[in-house]
Amino acid sequence: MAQYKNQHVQFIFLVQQDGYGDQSQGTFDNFYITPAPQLTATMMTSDDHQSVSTDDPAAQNAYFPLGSTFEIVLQKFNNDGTTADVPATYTLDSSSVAASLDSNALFPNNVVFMYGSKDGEAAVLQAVHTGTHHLTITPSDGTTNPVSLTINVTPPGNLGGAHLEVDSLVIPVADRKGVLPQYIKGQIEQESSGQFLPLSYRYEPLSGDVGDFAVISRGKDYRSTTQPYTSYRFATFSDCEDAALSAGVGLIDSDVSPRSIYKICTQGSCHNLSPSDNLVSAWNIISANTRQGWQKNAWYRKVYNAHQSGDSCNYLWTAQTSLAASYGYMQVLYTTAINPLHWTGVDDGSKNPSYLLDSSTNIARHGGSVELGTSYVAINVQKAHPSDVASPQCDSLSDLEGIFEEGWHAYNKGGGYPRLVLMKSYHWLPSIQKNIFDTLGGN
Amino acid sequence: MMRRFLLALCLVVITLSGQQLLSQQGIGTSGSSGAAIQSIVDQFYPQQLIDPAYPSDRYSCFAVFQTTQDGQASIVIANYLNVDGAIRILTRAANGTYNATEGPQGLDTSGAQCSIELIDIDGDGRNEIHLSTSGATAATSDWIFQWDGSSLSTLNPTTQMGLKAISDLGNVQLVDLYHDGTLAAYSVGQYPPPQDNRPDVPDSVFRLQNGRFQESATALCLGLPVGDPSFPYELFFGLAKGSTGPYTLRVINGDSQGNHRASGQILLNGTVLTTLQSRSDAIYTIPITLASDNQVTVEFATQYADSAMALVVEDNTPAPPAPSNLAAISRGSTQIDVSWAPSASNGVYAYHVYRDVNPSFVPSSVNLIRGAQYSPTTLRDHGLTPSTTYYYFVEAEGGYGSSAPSNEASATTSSQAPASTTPPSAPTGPSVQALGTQNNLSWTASTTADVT
Repeated sequence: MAQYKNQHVQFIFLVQQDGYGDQSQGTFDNFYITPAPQLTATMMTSDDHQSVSTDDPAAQNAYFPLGSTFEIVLQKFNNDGTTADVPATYTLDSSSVAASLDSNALFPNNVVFMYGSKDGEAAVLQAVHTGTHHLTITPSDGTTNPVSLTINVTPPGNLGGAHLEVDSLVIPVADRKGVLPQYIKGQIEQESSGQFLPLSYRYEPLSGDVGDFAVISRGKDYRSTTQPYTSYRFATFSDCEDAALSAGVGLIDSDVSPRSIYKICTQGSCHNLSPSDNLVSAWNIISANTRQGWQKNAWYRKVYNAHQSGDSCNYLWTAQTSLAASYGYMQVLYTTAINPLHWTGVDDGSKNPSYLLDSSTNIARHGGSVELGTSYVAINVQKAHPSDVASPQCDSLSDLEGIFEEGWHAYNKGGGYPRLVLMKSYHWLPSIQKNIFDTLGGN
Repeated sequence: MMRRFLLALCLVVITLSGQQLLSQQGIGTSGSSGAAIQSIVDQFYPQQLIDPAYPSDRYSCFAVFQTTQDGQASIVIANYLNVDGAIRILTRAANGTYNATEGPQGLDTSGAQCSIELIDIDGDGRNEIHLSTSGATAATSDWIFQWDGSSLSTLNPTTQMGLKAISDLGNVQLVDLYHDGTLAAYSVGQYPPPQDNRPDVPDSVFRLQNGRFQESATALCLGLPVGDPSFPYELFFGLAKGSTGPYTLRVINGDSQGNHRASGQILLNGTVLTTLQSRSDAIYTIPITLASDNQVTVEFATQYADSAMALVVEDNTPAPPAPSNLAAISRGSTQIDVSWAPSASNGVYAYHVYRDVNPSFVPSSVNLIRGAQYSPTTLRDHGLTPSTTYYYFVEAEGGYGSSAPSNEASATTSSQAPASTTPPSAPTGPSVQALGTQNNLSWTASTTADVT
């Protein structure tokens, strides 16, 4: 009667009294007592798994870290001790998102969502916000009782095993925006060449100063009339298109000093830029810092050719290194922060470019790059997949990765960028709780 | 797998003349004609087509070509954000109205900023359309379109990402690297490059083959000379991720006919690699050994304006070897444990596990059960059907592609089925018979066949 294993079985003996005072006795052979069904949780990225008997009070709550992908399966025991998955319907019911979500948050209605079909032998779930989400497992055969499980998604203890200093910055942002924390940390690794430098700075001539995309230099409105650019510009010299301008009134030393990582060479002598170097041209910097790899880009060829032919209009103008630069862990461009992200600045409304650096002081004033950079990814994921964001329809983790790859492609149009970020995110998978099934909070 | 990277050190872009279908008259939205052209473009990209949730994203770029004698643009090429297949050519008819020719659909040509240029890539005297878009960073995605007078086609290779195709070309320079009269696309794999110039993704060179761009070389850095032989040009680069070599350096020197060669020498990490004037041929290869960080120094001189030089390093780093010793063991009626020995390559970052019920099956996305993030070398596969034989393959994925499949392994789940959804029929006639000091309990068996 294998079908009755794990069930409450009651034997009733009817003893007929024949009047001779006989005693009654029954003998049972080949009767097995098997354990109650178990719930097994498997982390899909590591194959780590834990099980708990459905009789155990701990089976009422399961704890998973934000960002994890896991499988829940209800299993019965066979007489030989092996287990068999119970065909069942897995249904996500009510959820309670713990975090105060941002307006552009992805998956705002889900603490977890389920990949693929709800019917089958298991449910694969994705944790996207902290909070609780209720899962009901209804066996198809009717001989096993339904199981009610509360899934608790909590902040991971750490993301990967290194650079833990960014975790406390990344995890709350991930929670508020619905971007998996390992994705943010992977993007930070990518943007910082694996060095996780909060004060990382890079002059990005293409973004604003050079060529067809220039928005700041040479004859552009941003240079002379548009806030906040005019507040934080460098003084300019007269060139073939523009008259000289004075420095913006908001420019401070911390906006100027990051450029000291670059050299300029004059009359055969080279030195690192100092605050006293005024009226530095873009060409001064571009030509003296070949390790930056600028020469790989099409705009370099145009500027180089202009230089070679003496066409000063097309290579000689003031470098706006504070405005045409990217900042911090996420290397957010100042031009991106202002538009399209509409950065509101730090607490007092100041929008100095250097406030995009991820210093503790800036972060305390709600500056820094992580919030803005993650917003850009979230916005572009939402634009590409509005229905998936409202009601996730992903069949697999690969589907979810594909959706985010579109967001990363919008962030950086280089062909290899989405794949690089994805590969690096694997370094920073959230740590799992010691006890997934627990009555004490998953520790 | 053959991989190559390229150092192009002195490049001259060939400008071909001849009959041009598209001749460039002006580009952009600024200037006195900008508003008029914007008005024309707006006829075909009305506000209601723009995603209302992101109205500020209505960035555009357009180029104007072949203006007529009355000053009206006869061809406008436009690109808008948030419109599928946004690239269109607007042509002016004799009556002054404009007709739109749609570009290929399903392409992600969106971008926060964009630019368009005309450039003859295939050397036939007709210009192609080079569309470049950027996102939040300075990196660009580049599209090459060909206009035959009635339709637009795409020359660049694409990769499907989600619902749209993205271009495989990014941050490109279109240059005559091979002196054959056509422009190769030098595509920077990652921008900005890592601060130590050690790329995770090597750059690529795409060449026109059979009318389409196809990847022809893998590159690590590209540079231009400063032009003064007294200041040797220096390039710095590292090995690509997972790259082990061996490598050869291909030198291409001279103009498009192999004449007008530059003289001088090339040094690799401080050692003279070759003297340019010592070679009688314009194109040749040299075996080289690379370190993790490399510096190429080029000292050269030329009196010819059309001299050109390119260095191509061919990288023969193979794909990772296949995982070995794949084994499968049944763990009951619905589970099989699979394990394998890791691929002997440092560049492996994931394993792809495939399962099918047919032996010698072809691994594909249809039978992929683990991929992307999966790095362990064991797997408990469950949710399987009892009494069924399953076959497995594993592939290693690394920076230089995927390995060949492992050996095939198989296991058969046991026959013990999970519970039937229909309870067995009840036993009948239970009775107790007193036999001395004990009672015998007996019943008539259930009529259900598989009661055990």
